[in-house]
Amino acid sequence: MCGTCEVLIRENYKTIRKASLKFTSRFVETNDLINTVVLKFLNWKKNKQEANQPISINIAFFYTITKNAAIDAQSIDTVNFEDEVTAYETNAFNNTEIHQNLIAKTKFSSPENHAFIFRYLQDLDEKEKDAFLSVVTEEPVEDYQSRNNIENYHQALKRRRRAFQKAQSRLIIDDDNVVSINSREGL
Amino acid sequence: MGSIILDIEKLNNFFVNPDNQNSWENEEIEKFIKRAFLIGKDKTIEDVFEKDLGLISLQFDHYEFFKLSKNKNAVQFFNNFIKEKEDFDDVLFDLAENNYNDFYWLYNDNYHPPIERLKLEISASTSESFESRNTIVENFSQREDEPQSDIKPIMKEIEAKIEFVEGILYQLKLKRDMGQENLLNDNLKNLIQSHIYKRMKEGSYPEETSFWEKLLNSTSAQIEEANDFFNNDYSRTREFFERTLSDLENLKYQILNIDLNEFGDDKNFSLNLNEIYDDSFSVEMSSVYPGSYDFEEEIPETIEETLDRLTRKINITINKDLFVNTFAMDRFFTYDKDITKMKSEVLPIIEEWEEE
Repeated sequence: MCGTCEVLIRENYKTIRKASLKFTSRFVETNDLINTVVLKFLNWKKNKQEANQPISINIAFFYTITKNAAIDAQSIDTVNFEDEVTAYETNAFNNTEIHQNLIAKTKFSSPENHAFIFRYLQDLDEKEKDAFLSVVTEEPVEDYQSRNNIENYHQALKRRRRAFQKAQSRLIIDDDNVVSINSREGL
Repeated sequence: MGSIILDIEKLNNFFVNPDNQNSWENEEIEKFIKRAFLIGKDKTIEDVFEKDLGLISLQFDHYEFFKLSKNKNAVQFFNNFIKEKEDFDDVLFDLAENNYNDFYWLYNDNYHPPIERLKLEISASTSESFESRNTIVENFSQREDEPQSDIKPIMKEIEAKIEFVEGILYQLKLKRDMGQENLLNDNLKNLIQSHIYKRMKEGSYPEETSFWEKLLNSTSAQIEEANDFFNNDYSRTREFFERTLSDLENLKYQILNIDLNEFGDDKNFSLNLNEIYDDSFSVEMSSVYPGSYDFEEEIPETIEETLDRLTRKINITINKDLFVNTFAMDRFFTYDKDITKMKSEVLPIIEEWEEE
């Protein structure tokens, strides 16, 4: 079982990271969300296997899991997901060490890396974050369009361009800061 | 209400204070500027600088106008303008994000900024129209009293050769891209490797493993050979055509700059020759003559066809005069620069994966 877990996580860890960045909020941090999403996915996979059902995954699937996990994190009376996770971890059939390793590897390796990406995302809403990350991670416009059920290519592109411009203004502010620091040094 | 004599100084003043509240003159100037900003999408140079002038009498040509893209106030005005013309901005973003190479090659091959010369004052009514090089060459021949019309066949032949070489270079670049994508990738090798690994795990016979390993070796050899081709033979071919192009352009330049005084001829004609070519050089659009040359049994795309192909998905039409619109082109290049920068910062972090 764990061989396929690794394959599936390796195929999808970038999507999990992007989806978690998208749904990160003041209620939940990105790495906590990644932790929850990977566990939830492994649990889902185990259940599927036990029920002898085929495992079929598309990218939108991870966005849905992440969105639900982010909603759970905001709810006071959250669904008993924590219990679900605990049950999964204590299950004798699961090799938690391997799974924990996969979760650790999917998380951002350092707070600095996370903060580095987040400086572009801080002024963007969920949809804008998704669109911006789609551009800078080279997701084809058509994939972004179909994942978000957007009617046509032009609309999808417009959404990406607007989000990119918003993030671009952050780049300009940063550049201006560099200039002003430099000019102070010159004084 | 009279006519407006519009010169660069007036434009500069407008960009400093683009308030049109109490001035019909400023209103007209603003309309003109906004039409010019749309060159490449809804307008052509001809539309803006010759046809729809209305009350305006221009004291500059399109080349002088687009030099204003170095003026911060003008750029600010363009940035505000394009916020209202999102479709135009969408095309520029799409070209930068998804079609950079194709579009850049097209631009690079077809747009040659004019060589700076002493500025000649011209008014809108007398400005030279934006014509194809062929028409200009035709004009020379109409000056029957001028012996220089004899250069017509020479210039025509040089132009044809330049276009032919440019066509081949363009095809070479396209094919290289295709070749690299299809020949230099490791997909096949990786697939065979995975298959061997899988079969080994399943407990295959050594003979079978050895059979697949032989295939793997010949795949590696094929990739290496393709690499050699692209590094050596391809480069030699490309270098030859680039050298040829440069020689032909040099030849053309020398002919255009013949100093007739040296031969004891009319002074003015030398100036006219440069003047007319200078204007046309602002955009040197080469449309490869399909049918004139039969190479590789393929009819190369015209510029218009390529532009249509590049903007088909977004379903917005652009025209080749876009290359001259430096405001729009600068925005395209800025998009590319920023996308590249952000990708280089974000992508490695998203893709990072620690191996065991």
